[in-house]
Amino acid sequence: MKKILSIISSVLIALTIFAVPSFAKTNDTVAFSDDFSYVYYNGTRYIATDSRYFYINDYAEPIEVTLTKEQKQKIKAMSITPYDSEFYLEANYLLNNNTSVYCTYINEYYYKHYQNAIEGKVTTVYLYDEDLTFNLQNLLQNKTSILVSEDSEYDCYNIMYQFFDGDVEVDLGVVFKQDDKYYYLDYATAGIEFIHGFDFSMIAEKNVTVYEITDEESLSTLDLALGNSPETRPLFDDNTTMLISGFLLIFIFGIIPLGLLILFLILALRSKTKYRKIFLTLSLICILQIAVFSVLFFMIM
Amino acid sequence: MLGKLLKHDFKALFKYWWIAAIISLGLGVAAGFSIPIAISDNNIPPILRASTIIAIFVAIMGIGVFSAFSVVMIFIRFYKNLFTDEGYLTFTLPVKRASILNSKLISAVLFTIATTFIIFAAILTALLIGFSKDIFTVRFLNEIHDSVLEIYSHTGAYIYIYIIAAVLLYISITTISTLFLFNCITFASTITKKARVITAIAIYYVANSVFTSIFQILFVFSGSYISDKMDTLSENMYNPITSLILLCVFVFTVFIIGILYTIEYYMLDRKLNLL
Repeated sequence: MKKILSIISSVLIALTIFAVPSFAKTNDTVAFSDDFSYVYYNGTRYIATDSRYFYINDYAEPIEVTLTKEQKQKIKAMSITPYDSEFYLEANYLLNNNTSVYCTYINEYYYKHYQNAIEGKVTTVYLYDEDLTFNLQNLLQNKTSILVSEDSEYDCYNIMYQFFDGDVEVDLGVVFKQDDKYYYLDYATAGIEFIHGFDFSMIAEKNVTVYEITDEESLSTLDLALGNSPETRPLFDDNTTMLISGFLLIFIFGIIPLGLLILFLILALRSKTKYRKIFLTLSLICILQIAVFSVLFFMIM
Repeated sequence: MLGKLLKHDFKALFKYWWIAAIISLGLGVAAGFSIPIAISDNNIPPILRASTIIAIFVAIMGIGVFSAFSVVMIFIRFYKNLFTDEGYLTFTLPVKRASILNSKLISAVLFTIATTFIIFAAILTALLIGFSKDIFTVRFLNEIHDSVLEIYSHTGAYIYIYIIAAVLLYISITTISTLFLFNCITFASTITKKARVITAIAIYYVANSVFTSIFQILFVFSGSYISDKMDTLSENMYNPITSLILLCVFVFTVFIIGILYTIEYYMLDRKLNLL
């Protein structure tokens, strides 16, 4: 009996010893390194990283963190925003000199995947549509340098890599077309900052290092995306569309009312009954329609 | 005389419409009280949750039926009043044919607008009651206030022109669709004595499909053309040009109303073919 009691009590003591720290862990106390390069949150280590390369469509409320005595010597306050705490969180530190430091962190389990992605150590990447995939190495073949100016108009397509079960998209670069050639601008190689919703006009007149795409498979994928392949080529190009729309607008708002105006005037002149009034009213509406459309037409043109 | 005709048309249309309208508003309130239970995260008995979801579904269906009921009621009255035995009585009234048509048109348009308002009010009631916790907060009201101010900062006083244009366009487009249906019913009645309703529906279906396709094509092409042209304009020209485009579209709808009205009047005046 004594033996059983001693076993039970030792188990209880052991549980208490282990339980206290684990209960302590469940509160919102967070540990962080002196240089803020990592934080411990809910028992997991998160490593500081540059969040410009990826985007998470999520919303989270910041959580105020209770600081320990030692931590209070370094910072005044701290909050954690666990956007998708399995992968990513943000931390705001208010230092004792009242300056604030903002850091983003990735769960250490995924950190390596993320680093591999932004260093280009991945194989399959995709264009805006997951069916349009490339072998990344095929895009990184013929290094060259081209001049990008603000006036140039490009069709640009972000090249992305997915991980964390497809929940995280990492932007690696952009494909664009210049002088009938396709180029891949790799953010890491070009040394330019990532701009989400990429817009080339934001890079004002400068030489950038790019890769000219010559790989057949990649080119056919790009043709599909840009509508240059026979299956996806649009029926009308932009100029024809503009011409047809211009003609349709003038025809419906200008020529038809003009034709009907002549018809209604003739009918008004020929009828001597109550229909004369109706046809005259219709003629007036036609004149008003033509007048308003003419003013609009000349103002826009 | 138009006043007297309108009075009778309103009385006849209002007879059952008000009951349907009150039921719709009631359904809106019922849906409003069901929403919080249906979307609650709390541990709610599945039967209660299922009944609230069914209640919301019934309310949506009911509001849809009210809309269909109003349209059908308006056009049945138009058909019965003018093209069945009642037509002999209607057309012997000591009034101009234009007055008869005007009375039918005005009452139909006003009842369609009133129906839209009731549907809008029912949906708004459901949302206001259902999401009252989120809507009646200082944050949400401030967001609405900020959005209004932001719109105003882009449009300035042109906002009033846009509101007036939207109201006028709504009325003119409602008039066009009413007149278009009148045209189909009258045309079907002039060409056949048997199965007039089915013929009218068939004509409406075919004509509506043709015109909808034409206007969709026009909209797609003109939309891209106008947006391309608008991009080249300076910012201070944007509002005057948009107002002018709205005016142009409004005059165009008036032009179509004129043509549809003339056709309808001509058919009633010259091609009337009573049973």
